[in-house]
Amino acid sequence: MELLVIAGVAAIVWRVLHRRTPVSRPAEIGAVGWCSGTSWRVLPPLARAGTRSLLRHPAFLAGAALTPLMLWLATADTAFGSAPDWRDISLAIALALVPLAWLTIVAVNLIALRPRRTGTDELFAALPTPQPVRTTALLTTGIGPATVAAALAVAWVGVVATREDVRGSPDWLEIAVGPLIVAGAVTVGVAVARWLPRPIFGVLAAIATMLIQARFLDVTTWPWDRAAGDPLRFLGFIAEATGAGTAALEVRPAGWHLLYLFGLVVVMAAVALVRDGLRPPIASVLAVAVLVVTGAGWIQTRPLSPARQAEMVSYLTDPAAHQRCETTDGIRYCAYPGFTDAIGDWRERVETTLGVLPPVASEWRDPLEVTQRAPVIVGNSDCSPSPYEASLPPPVAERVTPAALWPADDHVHPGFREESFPCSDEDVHGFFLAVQVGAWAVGLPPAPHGSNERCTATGQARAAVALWAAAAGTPDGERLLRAVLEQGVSADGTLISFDGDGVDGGGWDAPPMWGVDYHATDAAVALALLSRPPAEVAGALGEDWAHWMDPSTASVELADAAGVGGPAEAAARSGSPCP
Amino acid sequence: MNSGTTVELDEVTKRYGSTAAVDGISLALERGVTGLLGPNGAGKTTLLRIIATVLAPDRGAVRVLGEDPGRADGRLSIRRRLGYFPQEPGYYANLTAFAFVDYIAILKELTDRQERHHEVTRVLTQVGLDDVMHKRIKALSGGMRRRVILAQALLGRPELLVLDEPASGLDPEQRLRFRETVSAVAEHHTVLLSTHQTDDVSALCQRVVVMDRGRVLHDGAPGALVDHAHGHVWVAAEPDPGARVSWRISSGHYRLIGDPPPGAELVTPALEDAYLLLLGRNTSGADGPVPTPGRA
Repeated sequence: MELLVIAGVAAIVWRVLHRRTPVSRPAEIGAVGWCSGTSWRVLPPLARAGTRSLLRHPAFLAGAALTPLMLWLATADTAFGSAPDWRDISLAIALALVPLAWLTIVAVNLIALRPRRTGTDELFAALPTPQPVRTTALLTTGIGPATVAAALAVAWVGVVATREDVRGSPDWLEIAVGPLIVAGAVTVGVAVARWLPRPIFGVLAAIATMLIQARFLDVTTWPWDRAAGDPLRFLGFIAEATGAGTAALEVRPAGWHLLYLFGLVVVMAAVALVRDGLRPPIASVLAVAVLVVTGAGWIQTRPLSPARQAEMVSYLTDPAAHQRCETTDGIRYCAYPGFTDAIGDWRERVETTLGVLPPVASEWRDPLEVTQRAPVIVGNSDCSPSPYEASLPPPVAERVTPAALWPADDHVHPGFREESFPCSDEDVHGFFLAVQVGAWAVGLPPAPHGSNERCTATGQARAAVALWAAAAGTPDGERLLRAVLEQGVSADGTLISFDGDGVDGGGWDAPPMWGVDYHATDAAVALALLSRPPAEVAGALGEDWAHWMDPSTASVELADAAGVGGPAEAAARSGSPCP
Repeated sequence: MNSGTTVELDEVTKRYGSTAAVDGISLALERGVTGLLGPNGAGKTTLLRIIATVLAPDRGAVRVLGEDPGRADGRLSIRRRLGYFPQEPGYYANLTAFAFVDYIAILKELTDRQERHHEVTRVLTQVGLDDVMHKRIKALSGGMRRRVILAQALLGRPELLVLDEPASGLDPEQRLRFRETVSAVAEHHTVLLSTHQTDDVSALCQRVVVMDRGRVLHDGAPGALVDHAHGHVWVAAEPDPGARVSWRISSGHYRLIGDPPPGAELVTPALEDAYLLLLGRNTSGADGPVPTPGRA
């Protein structure tokens, strides 16, 4: 996609640079400014004519044609993957309209410079409609592109709404950011044309807005170097969601942000008009707009109130006070409000995973609890894993400790987001959760605790059994287990640990939250066991469950016993051994 | 200013660096067509721009249609009553002739859509573009494009029409049509026409102003200019080194302008002869050479 955008910008730059030299000599044309007798009645027809030109301009048409593709790309994961959420979709729709805004800047800039480019400026200078009225009319044309952007957004909401499983409802304040940015693009294009009357500056302005947006969009990088949840990001044109995973843990002052953007749009419009002189009405509008921008920007970046901070801390560290629970067949399932629909999926995966194991697997331990909690690691805007705390508002992150957030409680812990492989919207049918369930069944810690603390069970038969049970109890499980092996094995043979050593975490939005660093050799034994009927393997395991669950029993022995072959010898153990 | 005076210039000067494009010109224009003749660089376009309010003079007083273009409200009032055809008019080539003139009509404050479209149709018909008005300008010939610009100048029946070389590039038929249009406007209004075509001046203008080097060399009826040339145009079988300019004519003889030798076969001068004679005198004095007549 980036290549497409770069190619488009390069084509526009080439086209602009190779246009013929302007034929007129603007420097010779007398000043045409504000005049008390100016007729503003020309504004509506002039705005209509300008809007027609803008909506038919090739750059705008290209942007409009590109937008459905952008909407698809931006919302493919959130809207058409599993467990779609209107909150994420609303943000993605606004983001998808940004390329249209870039091309709108170019289009309106070229239209604003058309008298200069075509040499009609001398003729226009002798007409009774002065430049300020023409500039105002051009600024008014922003309504057209914004309406087109809004129509595309609403149409896409309609497309997404055909899915019945989308959680929540569209956030219109978040979606409105997109059309407002497109309207703002018109004011930017006109202002640049008035102050820097060369077409190349219109293209440069579009590129500049991309860079400005990129800087503000990711406050985790230079020059900000802030946490992803820092409210400074709202000073950008569009603020992506953090990785907090739930609206309850993210502050999005959508109304204030909309007002902030509106103020910026008015500021740019005033800047365009000031080119013809700072008249008192324009100065007043500019002053009010600057105040609005400053005020709305200040409000957006205020720290959370102590009460809201406490509420968020409680949400994270005292889930029982917030979650809704239900018990089925002695297994307790707890989910935060808004996620309770997911319990059915969790239950299915728990039952199918435990179902392939011998009955003793569910009896030799305390009853299983499946409790939703924040993941230890999440993907960030660069699609690379980062600590979850960085996604939280900084004051909240400072008040929670890893020990309080992720206690070692031996529960199975689904996260906030649907599981998936990196950069993929493929349905993995809860396979990562199944591995947690398998771990619980064999006496291994299901999920990490503290600061991503995991233990190693390398070479242990029970580790292979956990992986086998997860794959056998999940539709298409064998292929998914192979895919895990392909997604990344670190130098020491650990499956996807995000502790470095060669595992590329790029693209993971919701990485597997396993309490064990599984080893590739044990995954190979699990894969080998999958060649046998599950009942046969379960029967063999049930005959001497205690032996196979003993940490000293090697996975190689299990492979031999099952007659499936496997690694020649156990892998060397490293890291903290599992209890 | 007299009640019938449309444009009044008093000692108007406009300089570009050390060059005086317009050098202390005083002029008063009334209803009818006034032709503005002069070689390239004479200052015609600068003078027209000043009158059309797109250029401010460095010195001198200007009143157009009774208004002072130095004041914003005066400029606005003038522009509402002015039709202007710039020397180098631009086009929105992707628009149709109708759409372009319609856009100019909006800028001329014709806000009522129905009335505006009626007026746009009228002026395009007046310049003979009624059958191509819905073609894109880029598909029109050069002459047709100039007629599009003439059409916009006619919008709203302006009291003052300032035309800077509007007829260049027009074929003979188009030129006749142009003369017809301009003369019709001049029945009630003032037309100031800058041109290199002396035959247009002869055919259209009640008055001719000849400019050179920013100054007015002649201001009067075309016939009065021609009168100055009586006794200075002759034909001969051979070129005469004493003539300011000479050229071979269709009969095989030479037409010569200057001070004729004794016994020369004098002929009735045309406006072009008088114009060339006047320019030659201004350029180099009574005995100097005359530059070859040229066009802008």
